[in-house]
Amino acid sequence: MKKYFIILLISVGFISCKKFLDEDAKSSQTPANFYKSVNDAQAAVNAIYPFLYGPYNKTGYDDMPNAMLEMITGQWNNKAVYPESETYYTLLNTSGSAYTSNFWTNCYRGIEAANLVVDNVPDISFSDETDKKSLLAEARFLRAYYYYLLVNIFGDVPLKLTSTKVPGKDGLLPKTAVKEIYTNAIVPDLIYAGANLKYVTPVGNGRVSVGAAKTLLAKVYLSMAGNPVNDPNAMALSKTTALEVINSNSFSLFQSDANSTWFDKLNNAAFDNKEEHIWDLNYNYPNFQSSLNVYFLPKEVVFTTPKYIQFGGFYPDAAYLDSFNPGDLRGRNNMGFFYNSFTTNSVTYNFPWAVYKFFDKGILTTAPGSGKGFPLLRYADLLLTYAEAQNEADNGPNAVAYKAVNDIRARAGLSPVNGLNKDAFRTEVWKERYWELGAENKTYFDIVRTQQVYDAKKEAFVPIVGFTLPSGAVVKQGYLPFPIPLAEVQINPLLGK
Amino acid sequence: MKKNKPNLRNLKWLFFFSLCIFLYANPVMGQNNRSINGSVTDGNNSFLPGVTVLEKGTSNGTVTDNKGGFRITLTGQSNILLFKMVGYKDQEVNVKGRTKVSIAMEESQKSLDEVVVVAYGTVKRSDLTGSISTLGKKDIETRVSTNPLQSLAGKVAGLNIYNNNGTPGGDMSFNIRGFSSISGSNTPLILIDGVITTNVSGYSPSDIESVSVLKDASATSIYGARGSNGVILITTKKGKKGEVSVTYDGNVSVGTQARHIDMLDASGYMELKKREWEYDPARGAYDALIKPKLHTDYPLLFNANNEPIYNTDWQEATLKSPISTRHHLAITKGDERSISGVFLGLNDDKGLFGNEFQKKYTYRLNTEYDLRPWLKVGGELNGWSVNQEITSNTNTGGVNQPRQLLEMPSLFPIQFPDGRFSTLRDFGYDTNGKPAAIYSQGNNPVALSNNSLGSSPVKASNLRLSFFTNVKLLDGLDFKSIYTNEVNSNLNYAWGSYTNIDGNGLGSASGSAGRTSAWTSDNFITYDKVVGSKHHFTTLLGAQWSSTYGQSVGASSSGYTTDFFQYNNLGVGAQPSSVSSGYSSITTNSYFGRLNYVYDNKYLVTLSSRYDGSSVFGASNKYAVFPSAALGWVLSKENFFSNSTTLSDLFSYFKIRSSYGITGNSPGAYSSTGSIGNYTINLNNQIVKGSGLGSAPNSELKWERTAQFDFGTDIRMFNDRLTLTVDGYSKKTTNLLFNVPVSVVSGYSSVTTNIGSLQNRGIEIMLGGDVIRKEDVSWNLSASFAKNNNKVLALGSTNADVISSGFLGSSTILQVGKPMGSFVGYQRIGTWGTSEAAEAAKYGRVPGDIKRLDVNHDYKFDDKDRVFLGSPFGKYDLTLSTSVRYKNWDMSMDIQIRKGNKIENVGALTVEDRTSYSTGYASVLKDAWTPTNQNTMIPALRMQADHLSTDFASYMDSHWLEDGSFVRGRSLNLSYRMPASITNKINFKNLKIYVNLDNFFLITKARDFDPEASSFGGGYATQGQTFFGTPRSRTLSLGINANF
Repeated sequence: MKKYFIILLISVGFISCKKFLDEDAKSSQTPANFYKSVNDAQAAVNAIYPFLYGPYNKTGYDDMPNAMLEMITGQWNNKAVYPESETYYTLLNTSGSAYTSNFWTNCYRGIEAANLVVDNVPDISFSDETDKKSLLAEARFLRAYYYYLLVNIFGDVPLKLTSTKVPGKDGLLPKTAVKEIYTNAIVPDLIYAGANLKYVTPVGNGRVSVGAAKTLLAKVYLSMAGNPVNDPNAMALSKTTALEVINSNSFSLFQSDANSTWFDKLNNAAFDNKEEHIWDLNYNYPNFQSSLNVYFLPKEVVFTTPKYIQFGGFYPDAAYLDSFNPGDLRGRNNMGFFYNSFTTNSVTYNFPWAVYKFFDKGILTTAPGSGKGFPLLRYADLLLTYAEAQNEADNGPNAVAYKAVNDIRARAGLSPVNGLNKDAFRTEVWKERYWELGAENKTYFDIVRTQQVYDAKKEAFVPIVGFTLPSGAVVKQGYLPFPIPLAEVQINPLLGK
Repeated sequence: MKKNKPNLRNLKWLFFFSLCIFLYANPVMGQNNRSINGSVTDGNNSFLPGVTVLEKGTSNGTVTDNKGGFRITLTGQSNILLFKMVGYKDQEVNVKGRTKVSIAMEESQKSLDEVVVVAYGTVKRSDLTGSISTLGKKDIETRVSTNPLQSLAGKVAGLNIYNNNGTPGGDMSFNIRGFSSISGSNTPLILIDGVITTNVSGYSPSDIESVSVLKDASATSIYGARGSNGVILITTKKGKKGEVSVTYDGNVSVGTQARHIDMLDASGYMELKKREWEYDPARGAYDALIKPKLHTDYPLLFNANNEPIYNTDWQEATLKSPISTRHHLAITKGDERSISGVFLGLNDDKGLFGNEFQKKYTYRLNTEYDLRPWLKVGGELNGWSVNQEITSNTNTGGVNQPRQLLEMPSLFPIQFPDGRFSTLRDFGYDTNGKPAAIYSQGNNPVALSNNSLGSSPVKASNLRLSFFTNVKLLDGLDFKSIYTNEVNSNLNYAWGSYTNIDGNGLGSASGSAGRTSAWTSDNFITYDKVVGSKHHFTTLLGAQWSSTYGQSVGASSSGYTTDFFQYNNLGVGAQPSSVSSGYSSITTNSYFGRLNYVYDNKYLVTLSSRYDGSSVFGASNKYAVFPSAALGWVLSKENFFSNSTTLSDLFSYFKIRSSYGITGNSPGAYSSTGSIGNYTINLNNQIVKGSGLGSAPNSELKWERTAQFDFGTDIRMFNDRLTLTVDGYSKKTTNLLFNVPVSVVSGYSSVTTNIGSLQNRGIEIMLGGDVIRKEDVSWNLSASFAKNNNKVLALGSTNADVISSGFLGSSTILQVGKPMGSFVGYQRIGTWGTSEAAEAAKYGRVPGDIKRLDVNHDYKFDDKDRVFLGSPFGKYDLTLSTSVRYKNWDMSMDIQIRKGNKIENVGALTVEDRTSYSTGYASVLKDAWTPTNQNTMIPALRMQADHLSTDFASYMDSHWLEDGSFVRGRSLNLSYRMPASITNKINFKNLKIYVNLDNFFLITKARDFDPEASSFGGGYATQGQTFFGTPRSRTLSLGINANF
């Protein structure tokens, strides 16, 4: 008996209960227990932003994916030793290239994060319905922005507006035409965002605002007016939308004053999310550092303390510098948009002309990190968008359009333009865009919609196909849009069609 | 009714008396009361305590005392005494007419009657049907090591143990019969005294009694979902019957750098700089422009003649000859009804880098009581604590100690006259000839090795309590229950000085603590029954429950202006940079059974099965069955065999056996639930948290399944002089847990899915022979050979290649038909010659640049140009061992041979192709391209800012692959056992002194410190990649083993 009693005692001690094999993950939430509260909804919206940063993070030594969009503009000499950007500079990039897939991956991951919000947040109960709408608007704005990048970089791409249930299957979609993506996704999302966002400007929160939604919508219409959609009504829509932003008086151009040049406001973190900055990619030092700024510090010298590698990713091509009017403060003017000399701690450093636009002075002591934001939408861009759209829509510039252009010229130290016909005004606006928006990942989008690029040597806009880059490489037919990443085509044969 | 009331007092006595009888019930004494006494010695005339002396055919027995003496009173009519001891052959002695017996036990070399530890029990070697290799104390003793697993390297065919580097304590990776999982573990399951553990490194080799390596499915499938990587069963030493016995085992070792790598000396380095400068003729002549101002620009480095002042050999300057010590003390005692043992160990290992050490304290306390004839209980309390500082492993590929050891130019002094340690920032010129640092990173290895720039100490401890109950239910029917609780805690710290030039000037400190707690309850019944005289059944039925959970917490901060605090006050850092904590838990619930049937010692059958449940799988796949079957046939027992004198003279034993079975391998916790991803973003200068897109749930997830077929034979020839075991196997793993890439359009890049399969096929041969087998002299030779072919059979739904990015970008591949983790990359075919300028230009190259094979002639390099460059797995492994005994002298030697594996020497990237950032191999000046040396693999030397100066970066290139074959003198051991005449006088039972030389020679073509290296850990995708592994030492040890 005793024997059996002992065995019984031992056995009873370990009789397993039904729940013994159930899993209870305590350090990570699962999809099953998330999207329940207002806080979850806010957190889920926040989780759409991270994918904006991918192309602006220096991943390797001087490995900066957004250089992909700049190399094609002909404005730069690649100086990055990391081979990837050189392949874009020499047009030898392939569908296997990392930068292309960086954009692709970040956009679709951002879109899925937004789809999760759009699908799950409506079921969460809010005490204030406008809060819920504003969150949904934020998500839809970001989704639209990601699609705006995708259609410009890759052309026709899969359109997916609901969240994934089965990862292996739900992504295997055919391509949707650019036009449909604009009209069925980007435009409605931005209209919803413009109508429902709580924030008028980013001041105080840094989030996307009504101003950002309308600015992006104006830019989207401008793109739709051009290649490949060629929507004849889009110019008028762009004009109207841009005018709403101008008339809101929410934004203004930075101006030089006794304390600072306007260039140094543009690159000063203290002015992030303010005045001219409609929407910034936000960073801060030390808790959320940008690696973009050290990428642009000239590589021939080291003036940061502590000493850190200055990468000098790309420098302005001489022809680009020469294209600026001699009096243009943005051109060959030290510490305008460019610099070739810098003095710190009483030592003067000289180097070839490098990009000053993103020179955050804080980096002198915080290198390699910086807290400076990157301008995703800038009021100067919006003004030029209005000027172009109005000129096209109304067959010639009006006073507001002239003011837009001349305000930008004025602070660059240039005299106003006037009396231009439609074509001359268009060219003037395009040139202003070419000078004003360099290195900001904007010129590429102009090339896509106009299929033209400014040839600084010929001093004229020329078709992008046949254009010779400073590397000597010639853009061939079919180089743009960029190829869909090879890995994606292999997984989803529908993309090959 | 009786009138006399029982006296209560008497009743109590009666009760006590009955209890005593119950407790001490002895078999009834027999009629024959003849008493025999005597003594037992080993082959070296040392007295042997702890030998069981049995009256044959009865349970009457005793154990020899610490002087090897015994006294037994015979109870029956038998005149035969049986002497038994693990490690020795059983002996029967006829004592008819004798009262005194002195015998010498003969050591067994894997005798057929030896009992082999298998899953949930033991089996006589002759009854084995599975592929099981065993090692005894003797095998382990001839190596001097800190980690028990180190003692096993090369000793068991099919068990591959590799030292990843030479850090103290030994960072090792190991597998049995090759890699069989892509995303899961490839590490064998390890059990200590029958219970699963993950902390084997905490034991001292001297704690180990025996090791069984279970290789085929018949042996391992009873471990079900955790058996597919093979199983290692470690049995620890326990208390012994007999008087108090004390054994001390200790040694002291000195290590020296085993292999020196020749780097440029200071003048060679200046020649390098000259060649780099003159790469661009437009810069002018170095001797005219740069050399004359060396002294002016760098007066600390150059004398007035502009010649280098210093010439430092950094390996000599940094590496030490550390002295390590190991002590182990065992105190055991036992009587008729109890045994107990205390085992204490201290290992103090020091590394070649002055600051590296591992101090390990081990302690074990075990005891067993025979409470009743049918009830035995016992337990063990053991634990260890480790205190270590291993910095060279951290941040592999970063500018760590081993890397700087080779990258630091000889030009620099260890310290400047003012005491400052030199760094890579102390010299250099830019392309304009202005002074500028060579590289802004790169510390002095001596400074790194004296901990003035930081350290990363680890303190870990483990406590394991195990308790068992053994109940004899009926004759042959036993119930055993083992409950084990193991708690492991670790505390990891690190700090980096704010003065470290590789940092950002902020300094850093971090701390993390983790605790893992696991309990396991194993309960099983065994029934051992002989029916008739020929049918022997052994059955096992059991159940196991286990639960493991781990918790961790960590924090780090930076922003220090002093090194005073190191890691002791993270709050002082101006910038708290991260805090974290984690939790994970796995529970399992399993039932298992096994049937062994032996007919007439001739035909052997083993059937086993396990029904395994685990929490890590989706609801629909919680349980699975893992069956196996094995057959054995002892031909030598057949009449046709024994009747043939030719056969029976030649073969003393001949067995063939075969097995087939299924085992599993499971993924980590929460693999099936999916997770919400957590993000940090910044909005308007405020950090905000985001939660959303994470990993996708997969409720269909289940076990990886390995089906293994094994065919083997065990042969003994010439009266057991020659033993041969051959095993051939084929192992196919299906349902591989595989991160299948999915279209990113879904928002996810991959999903873990049970898809894919791979196979391992191989042959293992273990051959041993007694060349001389005499009383005073014996000589044994043995060889262990293993060949395994690993091949991927299927991948995902499309069989698409999976390329893994390593330090050099895409460098290893999973490709159907090839071994896992095969190297893939561009084929370097040389350098562009001056006559090929036009063709080179099409690639944007000029003469002197690297020339690679453009497979599809499209003038660009992409995936289509990658070629298969070889496998990190060897063609075969061979260990040759010999042991010679002459009287009291013993000599043993192991030579390990590995053939045919490739090594990716990432180090060559930095010290051969990228010399402008550091220094170079001594051979670089001779090998690099010049107009007169165009037939070379090494490009022209150039400055950093020059054309394609980093053309090698991020491309995996065939040039870095080297033949990793090696022949290593693994261990040479010489020992002398004091004769009994001396030990008796000084009252020792046993006294042995030994000298050991570890890693005593190495022959290889590989260029890094050691060819046996995986700098990036144990994953399949990083095998054989070495990036300046921590140099390994050649170690001379002097030891003593005393028993009194």
